[in-house]
Amino acid sequence: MVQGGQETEQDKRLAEDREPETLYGISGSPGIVVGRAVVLRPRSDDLVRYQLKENAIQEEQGRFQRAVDRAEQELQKLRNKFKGDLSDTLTIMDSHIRMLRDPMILKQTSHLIEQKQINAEWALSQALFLVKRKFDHIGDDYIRDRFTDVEYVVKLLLEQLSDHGQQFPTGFAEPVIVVSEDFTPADTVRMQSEKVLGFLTEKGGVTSHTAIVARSLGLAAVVGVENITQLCRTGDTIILDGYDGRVCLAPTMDQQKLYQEYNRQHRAFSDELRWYIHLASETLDGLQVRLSANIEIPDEMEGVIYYGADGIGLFRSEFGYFQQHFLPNEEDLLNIYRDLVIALDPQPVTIRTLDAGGDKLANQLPGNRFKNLHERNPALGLRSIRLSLCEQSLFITQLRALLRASAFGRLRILLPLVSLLSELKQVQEIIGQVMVDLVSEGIPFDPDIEIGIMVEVPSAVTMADVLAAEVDFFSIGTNDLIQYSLAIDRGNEYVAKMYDPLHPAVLRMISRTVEAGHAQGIEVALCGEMAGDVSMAPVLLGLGLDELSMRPSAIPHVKRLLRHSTSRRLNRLAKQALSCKDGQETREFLEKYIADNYGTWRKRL
Amino acid sequence: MKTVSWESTVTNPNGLHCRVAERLIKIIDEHEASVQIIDQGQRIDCDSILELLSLGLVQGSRIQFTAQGTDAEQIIAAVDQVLSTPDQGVLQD
Repeated sequence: MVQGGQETEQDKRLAEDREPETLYGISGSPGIVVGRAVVLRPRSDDLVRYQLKENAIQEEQGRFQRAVDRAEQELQKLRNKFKGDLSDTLTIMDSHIRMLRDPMILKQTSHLIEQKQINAEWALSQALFLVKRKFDHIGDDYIRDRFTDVEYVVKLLLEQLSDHGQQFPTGFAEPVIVVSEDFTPADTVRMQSEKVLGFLTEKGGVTSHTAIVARSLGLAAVVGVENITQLCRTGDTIILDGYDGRVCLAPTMDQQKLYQEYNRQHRAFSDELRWYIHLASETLDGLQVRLSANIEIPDEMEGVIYYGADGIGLFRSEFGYFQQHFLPNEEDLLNIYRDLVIALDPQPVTIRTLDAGGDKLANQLPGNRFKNLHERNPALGLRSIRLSLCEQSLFITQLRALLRASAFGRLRILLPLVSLLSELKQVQEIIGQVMVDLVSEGIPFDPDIEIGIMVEVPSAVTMADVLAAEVDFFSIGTNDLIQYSLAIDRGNEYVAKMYDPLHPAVLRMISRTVEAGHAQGIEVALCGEMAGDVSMAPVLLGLGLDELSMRPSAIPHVKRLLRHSTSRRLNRLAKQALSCKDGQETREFLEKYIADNYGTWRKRL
Repeated sequence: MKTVSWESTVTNPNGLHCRVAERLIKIIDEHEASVQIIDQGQRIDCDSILELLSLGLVQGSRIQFTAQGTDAEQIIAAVDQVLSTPDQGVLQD
């Protein structure tokens, strides 16, 4: 199934011993599949440039012209597949066809081929660059963003120019997993007629057609896996885990078997779990714990509702900032937040303010003045609330959108990485000022809006009693808290093993934070990955957390566990866990508890 | 050959985006006339969708048109209609 021409490249890669590697993204559509990958649309940096002899120019222009003709036929064919009530889609496709023949593309490329004596691919990319320069001057975000349409058209042309003809290869000998930066509606139309096992994308997808289409087709999908089109090559065997949003590259045979078994269990189990979706989240003795969802993109709402979440415990608002080349304005953000709040009303929607910086995000954040800041120690640098306080206009725009959305339901503002009381005071002052502005502008908002902080820095744990007096709720972010308190960088393969959520230090910090919060009468939530891990949830429930926020598909699992427990038993478990001496002891203790109390459970891979 | 000039205002809330530009070019194609936009002293042919988008015309923008050809007069109403018809669908282009 590997296509001609790529084989040598493939062989070379296969010859390198690849270590199995697991990457994480967002669950787009449930299901586990093992299969070969087909990577669509190599990035533009794969483009080659070569100089032409003078007598080859005309032939090159002809080659380009033929590519335009074929791309047009291709688009026309797709257009014909859309039927009925889709006039907007058809008009968009018409505009794409028109772009193909636009002088800024067609004439310009032909001109550049001749003038610079370069190949069509390179000339085309230069023409695209000139269009981009023009578009960059457009003041209006919405129109400027249409550049993505131009890029799409140029990609189609590049596909036609490439030796393989169209990039979506047809006639697979076996079903494949399709990997791409993102999928357009046109891609999905093509795929329906192909043997496809699942989808894997780099982008979370603002329009996330991928996840929606995958679910409607009943295919597995994982979205938002960074760099996947680079890491994965056509022909690689991969495992796609649409339940947990994971991908395994170069899996061992054992891993493949395990995942297949996991898939089988999942199917059997999900039949039972379906019963729990509409039941209350409470113990046998009536203790209620809110089981809410962590989401990254608004399109995940479908899953939030499907899995019966009691609200959103963590909306990572970075989504609105990094999907485009331009900063979102207040209205864009308001629309996103309002839709979430209205969809879940009266359940709470907790939105974390921009948590950028510390890693690649700050470099991608359009237009911020710290874009080129070199961080020697990014996890400890200008990130998160610290960045928001330095880029106040950015922060104020987000706060205004959040406050305005609060008029439509129960919205809670969550401030990340707070480590100092003075930081919190500064934020409170800014929020106060934004409220004053909104009042004077006559714009409605909820004056009693709940404001909470992420407890994810050890200093915030230590000072939790002081901080609790200032906020309406706590949300413990264990992913960062573990990294900071155990001094472990999860991305570092040599120390990642020491990253242990069950380290007694972590559990004790959680316990301490819960006690401090409850002493001030505020709710304490936990929104790290461990919340959705059924092997850890019992101890978290026993520590007295009021809310566990997790990926939506984990909710029925944790709810089942909660509904088969009593608060007394969970508390006793937590107390015993707190006295364990290390992570290993805690783990063995918990495993035994689960085996004794809830029957067999699938092991996490 | 007949030449007319007039000024129109974009009233579509999302401005002159892909779909509007597409409809504009299509309607001009259906007439016997060539249409240009005068933008800051420059003449831009209304047959390039990318040039039209590059103008970044938002709701409320005023546009100077000139049209030449037998249908030059009829085209004014047709163009104005495209610029004022709101988007129907929920689809963002």
